[in-house]
Amino acid sequence: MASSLILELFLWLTVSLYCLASILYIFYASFQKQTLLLAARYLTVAGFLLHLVAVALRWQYAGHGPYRTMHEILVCDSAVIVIIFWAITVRRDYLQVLGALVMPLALLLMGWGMLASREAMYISPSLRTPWLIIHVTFAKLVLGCVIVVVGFSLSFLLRNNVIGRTLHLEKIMAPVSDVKHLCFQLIQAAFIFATLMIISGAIWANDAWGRYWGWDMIEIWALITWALLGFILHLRLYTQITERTLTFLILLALVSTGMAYFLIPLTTETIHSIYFK
Amino acid sequence: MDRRPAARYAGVFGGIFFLDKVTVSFHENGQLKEFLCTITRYNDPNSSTTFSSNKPLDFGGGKLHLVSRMHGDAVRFQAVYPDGQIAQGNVIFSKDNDSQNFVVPRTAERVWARLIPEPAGVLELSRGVMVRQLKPGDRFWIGDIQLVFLEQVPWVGMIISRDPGRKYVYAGFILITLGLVTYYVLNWVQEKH
Repeated sequence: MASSLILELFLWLTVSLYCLASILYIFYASFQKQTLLLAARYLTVAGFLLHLVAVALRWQYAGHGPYRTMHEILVCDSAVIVIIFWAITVRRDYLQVLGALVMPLALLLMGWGMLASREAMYISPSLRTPWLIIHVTFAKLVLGCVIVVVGFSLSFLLRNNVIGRTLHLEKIMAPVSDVKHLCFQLIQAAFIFATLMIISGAIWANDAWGRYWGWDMIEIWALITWALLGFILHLRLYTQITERTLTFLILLALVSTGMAYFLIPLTTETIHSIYFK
Repeated sequence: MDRRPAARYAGVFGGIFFLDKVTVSFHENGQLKEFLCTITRYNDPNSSTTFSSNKPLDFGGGKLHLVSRMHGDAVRFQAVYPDGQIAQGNVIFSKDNDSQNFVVPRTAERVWARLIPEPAGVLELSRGVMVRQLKPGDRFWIGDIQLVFLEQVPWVGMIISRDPGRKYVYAGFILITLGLVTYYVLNWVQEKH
């Protein structure tokens, strides 16, 4: 009882700090004061440390990693988003303002996780395999990369519209070419992680069900996401993609990722979602 | 709850085996805790092997997989017709579905069957207004046809697979991963310089 109260405390402190950090990043984009950015960065780091403690406490409480219930999955996924964003921007000051777009996305996922049931579930015999950890880790990295790249790509739309021009965002934002290059690097990373996620899932499926691929709805959407990420990377090789097109394609990747990770498991009975019930 | 019934089934695919034991236990919230299956090869009585899901068993040149979401109890019955002919059938039940509507073999007669969990081994058959609880060996009459409740046995879902190209598939997995990583690392090094 006491441990669950402490866990709740850490979760709500994390939410509060991420919320404050998001507000400060947005204020920084508006007023362009360095102190606001500094405060936002410190709050993000403090929130992330509390977030890690919350994930560890939940791990101890549930007796397994964050891959069994929607609450565990979403809370951990938002931590992955924050660490990816932090790792990319820690040495690139000119990208820090993108926290105004990425942190609210992490907060949104965290908020959804906070609304989900806290009931702990056991690991069923079918999930007791090291492949679960490998498969889920890569899945989380794919989602993290996709959401961070969505935040980055939205900056293309923001800087060219009336808000961006009024706030003179070009003064504090990285050059378009740099952000675009970073977007492609993140898509590359997501593509590699998606490949490894699909491969590890296939090896596990062959052990559990005697086949590598079953055309399950979640598998199909994971394949669509993988193909879409590959398509964006190949498009870059042969044509000049405009920022607007790139943003559109990245948003499509977000939709297909959302279908595979959330919409299908929550609305359809598939061989994957049955295992989580 | 821990059920350890001993039953024998025969399956074919590169060999015949007996399903000796199915061990299923649940957590207090109804989630599956333990799911094990013991089989013995038909021609080797000392070959008793226990295996679980995710750990397929090498069998008859292939692999035997245990599907953990597929298990329960089945009822074996015999239909005896007025002309003396006999047909056998099974009705399967699962944890979430303890009643079934089944068709008597060679007829269009439908019978509603419910497996009563406590005490084990009681089958309730109903057809129209006729309702009767049966124990193994009891009979249920549908006109001139008699249904004999033979026994209650556990059932499990198994998949038998053959995968002769496994090494090539794994080689493909390794090549695609190495290819992707090498391509992007080389790109990154080129950009750095």
